[in-house]
Amino acid sequence: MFKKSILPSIVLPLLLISSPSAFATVILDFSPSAQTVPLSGQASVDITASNLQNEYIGAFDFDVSWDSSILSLASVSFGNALGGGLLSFQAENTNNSMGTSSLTELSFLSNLTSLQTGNTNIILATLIFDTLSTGQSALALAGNISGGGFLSDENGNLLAASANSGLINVVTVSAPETLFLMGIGLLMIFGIRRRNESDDNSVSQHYL
Amino acid sequence: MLKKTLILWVSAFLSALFIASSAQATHFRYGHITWTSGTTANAVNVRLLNAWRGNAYNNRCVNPVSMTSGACSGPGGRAGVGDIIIEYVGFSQFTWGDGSARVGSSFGPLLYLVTSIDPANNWLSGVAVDPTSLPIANSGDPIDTVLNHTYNSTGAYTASLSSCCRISGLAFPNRHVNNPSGSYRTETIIDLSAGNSSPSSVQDPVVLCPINAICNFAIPATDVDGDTISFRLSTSAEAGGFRQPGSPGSGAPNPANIDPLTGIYTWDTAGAVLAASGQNTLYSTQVMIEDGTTKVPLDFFIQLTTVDPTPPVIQPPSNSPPICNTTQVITLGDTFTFDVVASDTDIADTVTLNSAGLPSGAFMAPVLPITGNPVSSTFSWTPDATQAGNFLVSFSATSSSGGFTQCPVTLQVSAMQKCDADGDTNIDTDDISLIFAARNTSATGVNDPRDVDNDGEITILDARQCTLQCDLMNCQTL
Repeated sequence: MFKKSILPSIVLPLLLISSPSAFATVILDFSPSAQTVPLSGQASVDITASNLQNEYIGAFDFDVSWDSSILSLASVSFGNALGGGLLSFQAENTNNSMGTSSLTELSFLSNLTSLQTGNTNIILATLIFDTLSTGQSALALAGNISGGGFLSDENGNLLAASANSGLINVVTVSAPETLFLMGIGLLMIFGIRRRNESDDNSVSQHYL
Repeated sequence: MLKKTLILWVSAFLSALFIASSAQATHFRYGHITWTSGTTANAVNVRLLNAWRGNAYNNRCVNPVSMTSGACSGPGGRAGVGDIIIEYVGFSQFTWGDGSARVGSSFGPLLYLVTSIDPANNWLSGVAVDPTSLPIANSGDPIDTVLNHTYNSTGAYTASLSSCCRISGLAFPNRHVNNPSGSYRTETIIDLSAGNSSPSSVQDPVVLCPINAICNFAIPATDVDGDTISFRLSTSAEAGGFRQPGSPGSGAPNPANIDPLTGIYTWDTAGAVLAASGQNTLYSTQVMIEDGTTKVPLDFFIQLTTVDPTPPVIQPPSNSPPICNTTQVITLGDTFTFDVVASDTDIADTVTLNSAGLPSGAFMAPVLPITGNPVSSTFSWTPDATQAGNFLVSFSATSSSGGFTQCPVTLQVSAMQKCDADGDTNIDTDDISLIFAARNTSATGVNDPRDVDNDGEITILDARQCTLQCDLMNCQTL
């Protein structure tokens, strides 16, 4: 029963809407690309950039969207690849009723090599969602730069990029499963107490 | 003895008469004045553009470093592009109109930086040099071609450049029909009230029109303030005692006229007196361009030629945007280039490409004029800090069959430093913050300092480019 209800969710296809380009493009992903979380739990997802091919990201400006009936964005934290703190401007404008958030960061650093290698994947931002109801919410990115661009390179030129979508599946944990989990929990608590008592006895004996 | 003395005196008198007349003879070809308000009260910046006889300044060129006069660099010992000539022929000096001293140079008359030449038709054109800016420290340093003056009070001042003479009746290969050997005068009203600046224009010194036909061409003009411009023919007094083409005694029966709104100059050349075969038939004309407050003159020649059924064209290279009759926006310090290509569908024709009104520091590669079919040259200019404002440059293509085409281009040099969004002359976090806050909105215009890439939209790309131009590391606030 457990396997039957959980596994399909875990193995949900990771699907991806990408726009292949004739040029090598930076790829923006949600990481994990798909995840299942229980209702009333939270989901954490990173927005990452990969396939940099010796490019450095000097700024980004894009919107994230999700199903507002399933998720609510609780917090956003920006990565440190563009500087952060006093070394960059960061802006977040979230509208949970619409299920959108605009994320922008601009680095003041003229040289980004201390923070980016030009090849290693970087985390642009981490999103924490509260769950509102069960169901599947796609996550999508839309660029804001000049009608669709996502990224600026280190010189202020548009950096070609394509964005993959993500998915968060919010599920209800069923009663048998809940009882099973509670039982396991009680057994673990019982076991821990027994072991502590045993340890206390052995310690006492040792000092005796 | 008496006879010998008399002969000597007569000889001396005739020599003096000859020198005096040649010193002011037949050298004026073109004139235009344009000006802008200065940065302080009642201050004005004036540019004088003139064309003179090409062979009149041999060995009258000035080294701007040593301030010595000597040989010129052009063909046949004439002045070439980039040379500075002493305008000693007419001893031209500029009058501010307020009783203050005329502007000349340490040599007496004004100096001109030569910006284009036409050896075949024997003219050179140039822009007057600010005498107070000389000498320059090093050869190749920018030549200041703006005359600066501050009036004691606001008012309307008639500033002018006048002397003698226009081309004579026959100065081979030219025959000047309507104002031979006449005085020339170009005058403007400088009225700095409300920070006004004058219109500006540019014209090839000689415009070609067909014989016995109606000739139409547009007078290029622009106004840096955006004022509405109007056109009219100058009066005789304004032009120094003058007959416009078609006026009584001008040698042509049909009066020229100009549309006051469009600036289209029209002249029916039927019946106009023509020069003998092998000579150029020239009629002088002067147009006054007004903006409601001031006026600026444009004095040039019309040459009558046979009709070329396939006149030359000036076009951009393939896959390049149009350049003729456009306004190109340049930011101070940026280098701006474009190609000019002239051709004629009649493969038997050759085309001469030339320019007029090149700003100081701008150059063409190869240097004009050049002849061929097709012919091309590249314009390049990096305006310096003193050159904010509007500049008109005109390219002309003249075919060997008498066809003629002009290509005016307005160069608008933005005084606003890109990225300096708060206008405090430095670039720091305050500017980046303003640009960042305005991202994904439309720019207010071509001079919007937040739109660095001039794509009409303020984006994070503009902000990023500006972070690289901050005065201090990491865009710290000054």
